[in-house]
Amino acid sequence: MAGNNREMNGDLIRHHVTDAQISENSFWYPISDFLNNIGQKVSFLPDWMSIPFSKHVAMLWVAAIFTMGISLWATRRYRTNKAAQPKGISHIYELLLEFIKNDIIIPNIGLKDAKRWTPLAASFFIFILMCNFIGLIPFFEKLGGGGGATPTGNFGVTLGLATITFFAIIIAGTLKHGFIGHWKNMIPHGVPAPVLIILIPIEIIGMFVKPMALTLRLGANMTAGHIGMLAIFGLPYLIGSQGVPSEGLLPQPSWGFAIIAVMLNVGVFFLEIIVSLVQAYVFTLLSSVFIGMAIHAEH
Amino acid sequence: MYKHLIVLSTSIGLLFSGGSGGSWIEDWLYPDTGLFFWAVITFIIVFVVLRWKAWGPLMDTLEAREKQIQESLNKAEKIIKDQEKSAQDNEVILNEARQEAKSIIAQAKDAGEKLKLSLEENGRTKYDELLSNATEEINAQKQKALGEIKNMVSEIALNASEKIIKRNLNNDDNKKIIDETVEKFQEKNQ
Repeated sequence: MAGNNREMNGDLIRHHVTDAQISENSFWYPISDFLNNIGQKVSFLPDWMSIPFSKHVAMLWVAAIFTMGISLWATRRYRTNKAAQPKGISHIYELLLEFIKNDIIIPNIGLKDAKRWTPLAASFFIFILMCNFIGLIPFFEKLGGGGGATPTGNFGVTLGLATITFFAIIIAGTLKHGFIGHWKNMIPHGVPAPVLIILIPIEIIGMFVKPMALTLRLGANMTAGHIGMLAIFGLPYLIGSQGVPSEGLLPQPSWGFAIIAVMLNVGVFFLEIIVSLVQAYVFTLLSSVFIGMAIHAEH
Repeated sequence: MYKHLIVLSTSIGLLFSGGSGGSWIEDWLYPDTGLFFWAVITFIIVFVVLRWKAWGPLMDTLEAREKQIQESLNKAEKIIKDQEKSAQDNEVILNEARQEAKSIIAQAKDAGEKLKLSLEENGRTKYDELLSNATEEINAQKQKALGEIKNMVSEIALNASEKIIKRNLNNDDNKKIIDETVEKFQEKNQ
């Protein structure tokens, strides 16, 4: 808990949504310590390029392990038998893959390249969804040092995911039109030379704006819900502690407001589940749209 | 263009270099390099593992199933078409058979009619022939019988005349009597 002043709420929220180093009493500390030691030894990297192991990295790994574990378990039958029938969770995976292929990849990228790009889109969807959901489980507050969190609520993570999309766009264009052809496609044909002076910088900015939009959308959406929920939970303390600003004591919550806050947050939690699904879908869909734009660059 | 690229790359570098110090909003807003690299590495590992072990086999299975369903549907459609065609063929064959049966019956009727007519014709001629033969035979037999009777009568007459002659040989009256007797007999038997 933070101090008992008015800024407590801000501190609490900041503590929750920002990344932090793993504390010494955490479950993750041995891994964190080990990896950070290796990082310090690799001294040729510049300072801003250091790769510390933090709370969000831990959550990222939990999400990755869950994603891989569930996916491999759900598809275990298909690895040995091509004529396998779906059972249990395999149904969900079949539906998911069919949905991504038929409703995201084929309309945007086309049937021809569907087989190449479906795995990437499916991986995006399931991994982002898992990261989003893990952020909703309060249990992970105890695992991570200094509070659990949504890995996708950090712009570092979403930028990393968007970078994959950025390179996927270039790879898709290069595979389809050749390396030079892809860059040529960025500029519309038959445009007079003076216009090109304006157009070329715009297109280059556009190239970076696409993944940047993905980064900001996913990160902001996943953080906003947490900030909102914490703000609502902070409300009873804010109101209750109005009259007792004594030093060294926990603020007194207003219990009436606490009930209202809990009820509100139950609603927000359901909203967050929807937001998690929608954002995973939107990220996947927009990545596919951008990849499709690079492939079908008919200006 | 190169100038722009340099400006962009430096600005991205500046974006990464931020993060330490400042208010918490800045802390939250500036992407952390460490986290960025971990995210990329983690996602690539997840992607490679899933592509290799989960999506690959799953996509193969779904594709194989789709293919199988399509094949089954095609086969079913083909079978239905074949059946329709064979039903049509059967109908045609049946119609042909009906026509043939009709024509056979008609032919048979015709032949029967003809046979009947020819048989009637034949019977009549045969009958006529037989009748005429029989009449001829009867007439022949009749003539023969008449001849025999004549002989017999002559013999009887002769016998009778002998008896008379024995009694009265050269008697004109007797001769007359004989002739009259014979004539009477002939008249009676004609």
